[in-house]
Amino acid sequence: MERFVDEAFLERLANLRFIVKGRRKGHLSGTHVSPRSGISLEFADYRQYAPGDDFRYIDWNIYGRLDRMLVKTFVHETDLPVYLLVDLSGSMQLGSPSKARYAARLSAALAYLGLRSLDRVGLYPYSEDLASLVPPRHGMAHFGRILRALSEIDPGGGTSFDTAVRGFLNRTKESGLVFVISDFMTSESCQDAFARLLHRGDEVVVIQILHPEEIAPTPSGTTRLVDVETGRRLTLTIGKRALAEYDARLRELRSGLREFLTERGIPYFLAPTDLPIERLLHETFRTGGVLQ
Amino acid sequence: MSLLNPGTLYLLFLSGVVLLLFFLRARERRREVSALFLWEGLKGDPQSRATRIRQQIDWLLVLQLLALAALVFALAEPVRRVSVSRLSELAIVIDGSASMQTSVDEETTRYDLAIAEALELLERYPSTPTTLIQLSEQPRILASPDMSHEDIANTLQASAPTFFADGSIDDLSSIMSVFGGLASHERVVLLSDHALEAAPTTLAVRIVTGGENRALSAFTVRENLSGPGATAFVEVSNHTDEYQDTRIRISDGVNQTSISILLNPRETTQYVVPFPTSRGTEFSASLSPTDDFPLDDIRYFAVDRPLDLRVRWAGTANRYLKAALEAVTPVTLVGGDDEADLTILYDVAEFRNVEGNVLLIHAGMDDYVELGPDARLSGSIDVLQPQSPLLAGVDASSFRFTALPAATDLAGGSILLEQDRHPLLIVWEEAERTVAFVGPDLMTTNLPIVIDFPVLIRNLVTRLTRLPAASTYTWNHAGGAVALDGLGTIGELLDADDRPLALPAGASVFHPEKPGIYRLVTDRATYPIAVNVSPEESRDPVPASSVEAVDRSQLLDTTLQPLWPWLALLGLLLLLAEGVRYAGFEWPPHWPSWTARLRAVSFISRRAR
Repeated sequence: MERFVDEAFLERLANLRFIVKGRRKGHLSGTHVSPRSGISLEFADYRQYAPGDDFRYIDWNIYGRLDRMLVKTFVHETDLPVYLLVDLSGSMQLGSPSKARYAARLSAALAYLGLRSLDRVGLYPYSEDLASLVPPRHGMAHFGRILRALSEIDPGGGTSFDTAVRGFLNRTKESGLVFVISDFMTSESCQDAFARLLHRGDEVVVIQILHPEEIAPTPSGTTRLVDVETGRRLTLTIGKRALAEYDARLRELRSGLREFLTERGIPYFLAPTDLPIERLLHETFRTGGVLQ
Repeated sequence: MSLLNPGTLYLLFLSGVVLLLFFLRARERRREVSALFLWEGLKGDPQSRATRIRQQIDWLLVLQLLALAALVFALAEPVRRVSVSRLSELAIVIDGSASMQTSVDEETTRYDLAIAEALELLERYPSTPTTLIQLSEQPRILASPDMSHEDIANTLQASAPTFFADGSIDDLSSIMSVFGGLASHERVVLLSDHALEAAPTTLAVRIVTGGENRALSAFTVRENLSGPGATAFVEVSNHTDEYQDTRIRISDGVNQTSISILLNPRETTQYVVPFPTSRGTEFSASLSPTDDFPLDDIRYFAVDRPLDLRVRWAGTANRYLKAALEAVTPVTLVGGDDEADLTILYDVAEFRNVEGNVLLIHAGMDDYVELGPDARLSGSIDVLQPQSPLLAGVDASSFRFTALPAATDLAGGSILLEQDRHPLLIVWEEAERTVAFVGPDLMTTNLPIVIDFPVLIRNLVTRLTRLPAASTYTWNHAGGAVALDGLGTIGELLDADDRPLALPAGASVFHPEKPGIYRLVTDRATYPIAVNVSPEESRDPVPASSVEAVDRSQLLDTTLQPLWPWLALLGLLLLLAEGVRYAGFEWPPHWPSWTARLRAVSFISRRAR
């Protein structure tokens, strides 16, 4: 199994947690405030202390016996289904490291954050349709299954986000926090798909992964361009003028997506593959109000 | 700047391999994209030639080629001259070969010019320990470093050029090894009229030139086999830019012959000069008028025996046979113990086997032929081998015999003529000698009075002696080794002026110092030995412009400084830059951690290995 993350990497994510805007109707214990009322503080589980946790919940008796700092969680903190919709179409295999690998590492980090918060995390890779999925479960044992699934991903084929979302909604009955990780390098409109997600009540976060060479290609003279998803070819002399036109088109594509999402309150993040994932989580996601 | 090892520049052809690999790898520029729709409909850039070239430049390739060029030039060991004001050790090598005797004007020779240059060097570096070498085929140390410059200058002015051939770089290295070798001297200056072949560039060459020359570049003489006298073969070289009206004179000390020739500029021509009146063994060829290098205007040649046929005669005298012999070639009758070219046995029934070539006429000899009683003849002569050269020009049908001895061939010879089954002419060809048998007593035949008789005798003598001069001849030259072995017990050796030379006991070679005819007296005979100046000395003087010679100011004030370490460093830096660029590192680098940096360093070092 390919190793995406190591302990040091996870350690540095320990003090992060998702920010959920509304009260969730979770049915298992978690760290999110439940919309249900009248439930007293009832002990549910222990977890490792992380800087930022409320000191009041540290169990000092356990610390005295085991020399480990654990904090108590309570049943009135409900869990949150976290869905990871990861694009595994052919275009994600470009770059070194590839966009797919970057997406896999990011997914692993988000899954860890979710499971650590006692949430259920599910993995839904897609290309032209949903691929083999990992249904949402909670507990750190589930993290291994997600990592195994991520290590076995093999990008290829075309992209149909709309079909994938339809399949996703059919297979999941409960709304939750949906991370959509894709390069969105498609001419197909994604608006209907996002509208369906919002309609069900999902909180959606969109992360667009692009390779730096896609954002700012270098001149290469007369070049044969090959579409990795369709195999179509085009010969073009790539100089300053062609690159300027390309840049304008890409900006238009990105701004169209960002404006649509922003209008609907969906956070949108651009993640170039040369941006370290820790910086993405600690700085970009925090600034964007996804993590705290 | 000059290169010590320019042959390594051929390694630049390796750039062809680099280019070939590049074009094989980058024949098609191809880029995979996530979505082609972003590119479709774009107007491609109209490319100017410069833009196209700039975009197509592969900087990795450029760096590879530059690194290769730098490393190859480093291997070629470039050096440059830098100024120096004082030397730690100086060696002056003055060419003392024969060509340095060439006059450049009425009072000055090339050697004088070289002495003047050497004196100037001594004056420029008065406190520098100096070695003085006279270079030739027999190099000499004229002065060692512990001598004062005044003594060195006196020695230099008292020295004279030799008659010897040029010295080689090996000769120079050998004699310089006495003082620690060529490399131990900060500067070695060669003053010569030619560049030294295969000499290191660290050897500063100062060319002294001047004088015009025509030369006898080859000379040999061969005796005529089919008649009296000799033929001379002469090669003449005109090293001037003008036509030369010249006379070649060939002499054997008694008689002489000459021809007049017109020599074309810069041309070498061979001439065959008949010398039918010659009877000598010591020859000279001379050119007239003489020029600035007279040593090659006269050449010597000697055969190691007289041209006369030395005949040992046994048995009855016969004046008809002797007359026929002398009609063929000059004949000298020698005694029984003297060295002979031919032994004639005439009218002897039995004779012991003798060494060397033998002509038997009506005579028998052990192991070859036994004579029986005379037999009466009735038939005609049978010619068994009409194509034999011994019968060339001979009409055997004109011969008349009244009787022929019954001869028994004991050694399986080749019968050429016979009558009534009795052999008339038999020849035994052996590796070391030839024996011929003529059966009848000449006085009982008509042979002495027929015109074919001297023709038959000429054929027999030519076949029996077969001692022509060698078709190739190695010149003995002054300073070279002359072999003395195989000529008998040495009595004395006389030089070209007939003065005796002292030879060590048991010496098998000697080194003549001057050209001329030497004479070696042994218990067998007196052998003339011709000694000439080496023909190499006759070549064109090398113009200074054609040699990588230095001018006087460079010669005196500069030394060589190696540049290859800087080029090697540049090559390695270019390789490092190529490796960094290949790995895709940017500058300034944005490596995330020391671990990544260490990985990068490890990668570069692996690639460098």
